[in-house]
Amino acid sequence: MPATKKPEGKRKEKEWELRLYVAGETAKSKAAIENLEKICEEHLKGKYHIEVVDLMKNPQLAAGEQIFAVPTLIRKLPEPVKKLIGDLSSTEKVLVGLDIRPLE
Amino acid sequence: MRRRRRLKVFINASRPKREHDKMTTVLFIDSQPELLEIAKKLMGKSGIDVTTAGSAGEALRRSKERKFDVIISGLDADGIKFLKALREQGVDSPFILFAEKGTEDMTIKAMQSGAELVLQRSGDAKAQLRELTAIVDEITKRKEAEDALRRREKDFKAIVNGNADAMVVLDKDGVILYMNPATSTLFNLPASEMLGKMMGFPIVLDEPVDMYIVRGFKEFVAVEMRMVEVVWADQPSYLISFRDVTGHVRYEEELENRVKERTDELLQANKQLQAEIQDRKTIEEELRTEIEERETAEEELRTEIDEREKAEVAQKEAKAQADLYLDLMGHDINNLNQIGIGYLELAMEASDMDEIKTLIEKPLEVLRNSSDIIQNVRKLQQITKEETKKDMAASVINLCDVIGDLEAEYSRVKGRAVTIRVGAPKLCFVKANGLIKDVFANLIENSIKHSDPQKQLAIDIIIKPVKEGNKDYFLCVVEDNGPGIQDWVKDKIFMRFQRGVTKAHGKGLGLYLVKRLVEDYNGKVWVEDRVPGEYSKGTRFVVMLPAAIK
Repeated sequence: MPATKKPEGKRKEKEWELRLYVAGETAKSKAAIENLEKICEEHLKGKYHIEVVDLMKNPQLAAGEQIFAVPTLIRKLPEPVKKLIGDLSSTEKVLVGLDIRPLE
Repeated sequence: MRRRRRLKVFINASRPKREHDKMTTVLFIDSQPELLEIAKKLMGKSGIDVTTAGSAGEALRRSKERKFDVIISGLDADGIKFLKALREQGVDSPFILFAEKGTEDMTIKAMQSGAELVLQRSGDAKAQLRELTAIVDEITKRKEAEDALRRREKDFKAIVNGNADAMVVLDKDGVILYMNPATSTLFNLPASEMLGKMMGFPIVLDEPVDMYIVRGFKEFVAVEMRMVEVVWADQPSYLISFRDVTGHVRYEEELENRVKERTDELLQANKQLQAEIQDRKTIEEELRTEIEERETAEEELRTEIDEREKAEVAQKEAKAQADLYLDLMGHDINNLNQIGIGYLELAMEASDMDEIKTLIEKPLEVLRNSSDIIQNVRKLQQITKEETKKDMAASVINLCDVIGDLEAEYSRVKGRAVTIRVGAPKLCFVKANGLIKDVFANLIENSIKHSDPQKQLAIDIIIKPVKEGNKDYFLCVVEDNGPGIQDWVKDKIFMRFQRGVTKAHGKGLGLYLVKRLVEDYNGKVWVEDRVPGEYSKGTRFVVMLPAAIK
């Protein structure tokens, strides 16, 4: 389990469980985090939980979760698990990738 | 029973145009020659080149000779055997079984053996041949499309496999369907550890996307990701490429560092420049102040010059006026003096009384002296003028003539025993003018005037050439055996209005005039004792004048 994750018992289970893997505290990482928060706040308000994992700090987590590239966004819940890589600052495409909006 | 397998026809807009020049070739095998004849004619009209064979053996021979696009066999039970033989022979042309009695069992066997289609014969042969023509056309088109696709796939694989960039085909969920050899190298993972794994649904807004791949799940490598949507195994998929830009990123970082360094340098230089500009401004300000002060000083100087010029003009005017008054007074007073002298001389001659004569003698002498002073003043006035000075230096006078004249003039002084002896060369030219006579007249008159009238006076005048430095002079000595001049008086006698200690009344300006004249001739005059150290044995005046060559 990632070090940043809070203990299960203390946190109420959310409908949407998201985990974002980044590499270092770069401007791009920050942009990706902010954008993801904005999307979730707009479309999944009160129903989501985001966990950010910095692989620079915890590189050993890459193999377990099969992180081939960063940034990677994993939708743990709802099932099925979904994985997104690339430019996470693109709101429209992230929405499609996370299946928050049906594909047009 | 009529069975026909549904044909899947590829319709592809980008498919290369069918090679119409090349006719479709069909090998038709049937035991009925009439049918073969009709088929050849009918299908030939549709542009199909039909080769006929009456038996399986003939057909096998024909198919060895050339490759046919489609093979149609009307052989029933032997048809499947023939198909197998064809396949064994390596002929893979689409095979249509045009069966007389097609049973379901036979159809299954035919299909299993690789037949494309089983068509059961009916009564209308022509209609069936038309249908066969259409089927052949359809099969041919499909074959062409399949060939093209195969070629494209081959090309695609060659491109992808040979590419230095890592290329991965992902399905719609981001699962790795295919990867090229470069992918293994870049990710440092064998294909077995990647294929079938979920990499992730690629999100690309603007190409390329700058990101990192996690090499061997350990090391971060900067890459550029690009994506194209493709159809892979009939499914919409994504072909993504990763390009290692580590070198590029390093270069950019280096460039950024260099730019930063350069910017810092420029900032520093700019700071210095600003300081320099400030210094320069201060200096300019100081300079401006200095210029202003100088201008003020110049203005003051100009005012002073103006004032001085005005003063000079005023002085000139005053001098001109003074000269005018002097001329008028000198002339008029002298005239009055002359009248006075005339009358006194008449009175002297007319009177027999010694007392009266003595009384008249005094004013007569005073008036004569007065006239002399006036004349001397006028001479001084004359030599002060600039033009006269120039004239003095330019003229040449024979001093010996002048001395000769004076000797004659003063040897016969009334009531005095004066002996004048002259020792001089015949010619002695000096740079002087007519006033030189006054110099020596003054000196002789002084000797006479200041000597005891009861005693014999001897005046010696000696002229001789001398050299001082490189210049030639004439040295003129005028000496007498008179009362002499005391040392303390010697340096005063050439001063204006300074008189000797004797009671004689001089013209006051006499020796001053002598000095002025001699100096204007660039000469010198001084006084000494005739016998050195014994002033009472007589006076010696020495005049040195520049010699002239005539």
